[in-house]
Amino acid sequence: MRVTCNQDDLHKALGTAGRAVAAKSTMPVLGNYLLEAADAHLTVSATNLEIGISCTIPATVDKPGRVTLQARVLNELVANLSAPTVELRQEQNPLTVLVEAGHSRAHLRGIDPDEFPRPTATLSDEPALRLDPSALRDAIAQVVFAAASDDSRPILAGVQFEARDSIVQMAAADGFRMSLRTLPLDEEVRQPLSIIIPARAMSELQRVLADITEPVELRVTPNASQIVITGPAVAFISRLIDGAFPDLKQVVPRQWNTRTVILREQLLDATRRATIFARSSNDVVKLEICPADSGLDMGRVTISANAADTGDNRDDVDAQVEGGEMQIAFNGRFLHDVLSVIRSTSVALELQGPNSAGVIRPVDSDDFTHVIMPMVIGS
Amino acid sequence: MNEWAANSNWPLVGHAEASAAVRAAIVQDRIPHAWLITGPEGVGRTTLALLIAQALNCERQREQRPCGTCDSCKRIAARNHPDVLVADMAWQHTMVGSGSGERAKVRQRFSIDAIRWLRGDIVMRPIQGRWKVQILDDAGLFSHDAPDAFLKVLEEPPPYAVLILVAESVDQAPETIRSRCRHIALGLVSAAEIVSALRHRGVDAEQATQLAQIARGRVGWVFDALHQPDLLLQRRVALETAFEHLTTPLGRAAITGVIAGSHAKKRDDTYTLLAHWVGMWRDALLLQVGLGDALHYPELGARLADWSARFDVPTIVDALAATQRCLHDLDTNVQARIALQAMVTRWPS
Amino acid sequence: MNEQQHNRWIIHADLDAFFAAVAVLERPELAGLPVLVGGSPTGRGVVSSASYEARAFGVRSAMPMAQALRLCPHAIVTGVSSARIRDLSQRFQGILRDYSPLVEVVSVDEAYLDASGSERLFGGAEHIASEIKRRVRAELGLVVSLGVATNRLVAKIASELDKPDGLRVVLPGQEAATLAPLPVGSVPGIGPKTAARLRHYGLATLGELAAAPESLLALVAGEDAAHLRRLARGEDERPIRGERDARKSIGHERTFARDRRGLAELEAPLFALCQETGMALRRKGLAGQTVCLKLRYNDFTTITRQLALSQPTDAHQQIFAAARALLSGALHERAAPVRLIGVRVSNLAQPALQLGLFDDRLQRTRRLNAALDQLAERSGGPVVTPARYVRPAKNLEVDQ
Repeated sequence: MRVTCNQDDLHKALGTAGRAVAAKSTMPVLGNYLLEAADAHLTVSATNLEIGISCTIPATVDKPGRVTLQARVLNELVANLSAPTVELRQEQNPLTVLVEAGHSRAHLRGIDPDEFPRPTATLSDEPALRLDPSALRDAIAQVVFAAASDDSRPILAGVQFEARDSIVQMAAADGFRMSLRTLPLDEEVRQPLSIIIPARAMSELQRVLADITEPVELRVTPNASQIVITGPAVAFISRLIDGAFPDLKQVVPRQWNTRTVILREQLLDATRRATIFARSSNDVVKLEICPADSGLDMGRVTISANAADTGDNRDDVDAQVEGGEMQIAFNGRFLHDVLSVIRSTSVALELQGPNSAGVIRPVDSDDFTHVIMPMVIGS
Repeated sequence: MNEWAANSNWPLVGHAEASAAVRAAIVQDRIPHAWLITGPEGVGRTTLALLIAQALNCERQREQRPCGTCDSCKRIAARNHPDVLVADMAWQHTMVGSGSGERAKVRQRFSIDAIRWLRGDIVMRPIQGRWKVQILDDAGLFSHDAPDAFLKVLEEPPPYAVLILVAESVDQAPETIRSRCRHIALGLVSAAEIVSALRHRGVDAEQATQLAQIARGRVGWVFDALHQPDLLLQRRVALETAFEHLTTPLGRAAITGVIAGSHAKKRDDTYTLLAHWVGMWRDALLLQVGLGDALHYPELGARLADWSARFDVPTIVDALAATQRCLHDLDTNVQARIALQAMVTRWPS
Repeated sequence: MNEQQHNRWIIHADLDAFFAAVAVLERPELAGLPVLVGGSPTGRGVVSSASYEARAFGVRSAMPMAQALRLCPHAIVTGVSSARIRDLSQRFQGILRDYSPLVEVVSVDEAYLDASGSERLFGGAEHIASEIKRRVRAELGLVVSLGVATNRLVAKIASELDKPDGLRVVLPGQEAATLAPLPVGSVPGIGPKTAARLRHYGLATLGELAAAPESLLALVAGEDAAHLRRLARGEDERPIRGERDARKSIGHERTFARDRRGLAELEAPLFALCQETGMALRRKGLAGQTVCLKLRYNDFTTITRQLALSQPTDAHQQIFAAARALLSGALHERAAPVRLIGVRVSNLAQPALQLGLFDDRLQRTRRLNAALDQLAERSGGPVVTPARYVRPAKNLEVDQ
């Protein structure tokens, strides 16, 4: 292999693909980048077996070939090169690569590229879906945080991804809360799709999408073991989780006894303050919802928390309240999480009672529903 | 011996019956989701586990599996296959850490975190192969809260999942786990089989016989010794050290002083010594009852016989028990100095 | 040592022959007679307390009852009402708390009190100790022995020195000298085995131990050498843990009359202990997040295993599920006969139950336990036990 490319391009490609380098592994080659030079392109790939990222950059290819090089060393080296172009050249020993930029020369030892995991099986030309990267990114953000972060029920550590008609629906739940988000498509889905993508992979995909402006294409491997999302110069691969996801629509309450419309920022700020005090008491944040008195035109939500050792805190926020008064407690972190990902100015809080699921949704759109279970205090 | 086992793609020495059972399962495509392979260390347990993984994911026709030459077989042999994981203590240390404090000092066991990691991994479908295989090397060593977590995987394995547990003995696995596994028991490999395997690899008859005798059925050790001649030397040194500690008064004083002192840093060395002492007392016993041809340490020859001739059988049995007790005590974290001292005082002088 | 370090004053208060004294309070006709309180002379009954008249015959507490009766055949064996014990114990603690907020209760009849700072209010530590002695006698009709010193170790030993009805003050700087003539085994922290070993090397008294050459001590005690020497000199930095810290866990344990073996034989008693622990938590309005199992095998090796729950609980069902998993793991590691089993819940906080999306088991359990507690309240003990745990049975399955 002998290839020349722009230092800045290479640095960016290494940075993006580097997110998939295995931090911990018993397979040394997973700590390396796979570099492939062919057809005026250099492709940088990395994988930790759960996800894989490949970035392709323009390059002058004098001699095509493949090598693997230790990710950390190559990344740091390229970041610190000052010349505008970099040349990578395989030495006499095919595992050694000379990296030359300006007057700087470095020799890097690699691992046999055949040890690197195989690329995915051949994919269909026509993608299953085409998606707008920024819309996909927003949707992921509203769902992924609700997935389980521990391994107690592996399937809940995934995000359910379904596509049919001209709609994508994403859902995640950790057993205490769930997020449901729909995303309209420009075209009809040819083949309905239902897969479970690991939440960790979704978070990485979110970051990768930040640099992309053109639509991305989504494909599933024929054996349904992996999903491949490709943009103009990047490919993102994730393994899929096997199993049956719980039916989340079942969980969404169909009615409410008290509905509160409240300014999102105000509720979020009050929650933030309460969480400070809730830290040492299992994150319990209490909400007291009072409808408008005859003399007042606004109802009120009181957000409070107390800690035996630290002290306590109360915030009153004006709100429009329909229905009767209500007292309920939630995990403050859960409230904070969902209020941070909603975009609208106002949110609606729909409650049935202190021991039943509550619903939080944006007021100006019906594409997002969050269900959150309350906490019960005392005995 | 079945033909398949004689096949050069089947690098397992001995174990004809076990090989036939595995072969039958593969050929009839009746694959148990969970296997338990038991036997002493070094007889080929992990080799057999990897062979099963190869046979499951081999790219050739079913009758030729495992071919040993396709990409899948080669990757598995090199422990470099994305769908085949060998989880052992080194793996655990890398992937989930080994914890800290008191518990980490005890000889390593599979932690609940490791089992949870494996559970999170098994739900992801295989990428390259048909089967996703997790090999738990030394599954006898589950930490106290791990078996229950592991049971959840065994109860509802995904359709593509195969779990292979490797353990010393079937008793090491809790009943709940054992009952869900297809059990394959591997015994010691006969000296004749080892000699034949060594001859097959071009080792001369005299060296092959000598190695087979020292190996005591542990094929893995023989192959290690072939590739690293140092091992033979190291064994010799360890053996002489153990013998000196056992037979000289000064050596015994060193056991409780020096060895107990360095135990915290070099646990493995203490275990090696203890294993040798167990072997030597066993040899002393064999000599007493006239079974001198079945010795573990033929190279000590007459020296052990001369030294142990003055002890009677009950004395030797008691010393052997004390030595085994000490091994057990160290495992259960009794202070090394106390455990070793208790052992030495029960040894006859 | 400088003056500053002397401003700590610790009092150790230990009621003399407490259970026997309570027995005499209940049956005044026993006054002046050898009285033994404890289990039955058959089985594994031990003397939990002996009056000083009985002690004259060589009877000691924790001695098997059968042996005690051989030494003192005419002793009167009796029981005491636990309500009475609890009441007197609480009044005893109440007296101590009048003199300091820092009272660490060790058991029903034994407590430490940090009197540092209280001296200014009540006049010296010695005065406080004699006040305690006077009030315990006048208000409870009991006799207490007290030790006053600059740390808890020396205070504890001092309270033993003039028992019964003792009061010993060890002045700052006199700690080592006071301990010097005592046998090495008299310090809590030096067990019988260590003591025997020390004697074997000619270190019979604490004075000899304190003065032993470094090399000898290193040989005898290894890593523990420095610790032993500190004990022998009467040095101890441990603070008195007051009420708030002391309540950081709740648990129960049980010693068996006959050793038990295997999950099947241990499950039922474990369930009962979890039930008691859960009830105690609910009574106090607390929930705990860490469950700790304790096992003592018949060779007296004791192990503990603990498990952190995903959220705090006051439900015995959850405590039992965790404790049972720990038990099954522990028995898998070592299946020897078990003499004692205990369960303890720590990491305590106000209960705050996060309800689940997919199941309402936690909430149903909560309602069930509230009902069970009401029943128990009326009948004075847990009444509803799942049939399988009423008696040890074979082949028990996990209760999900």
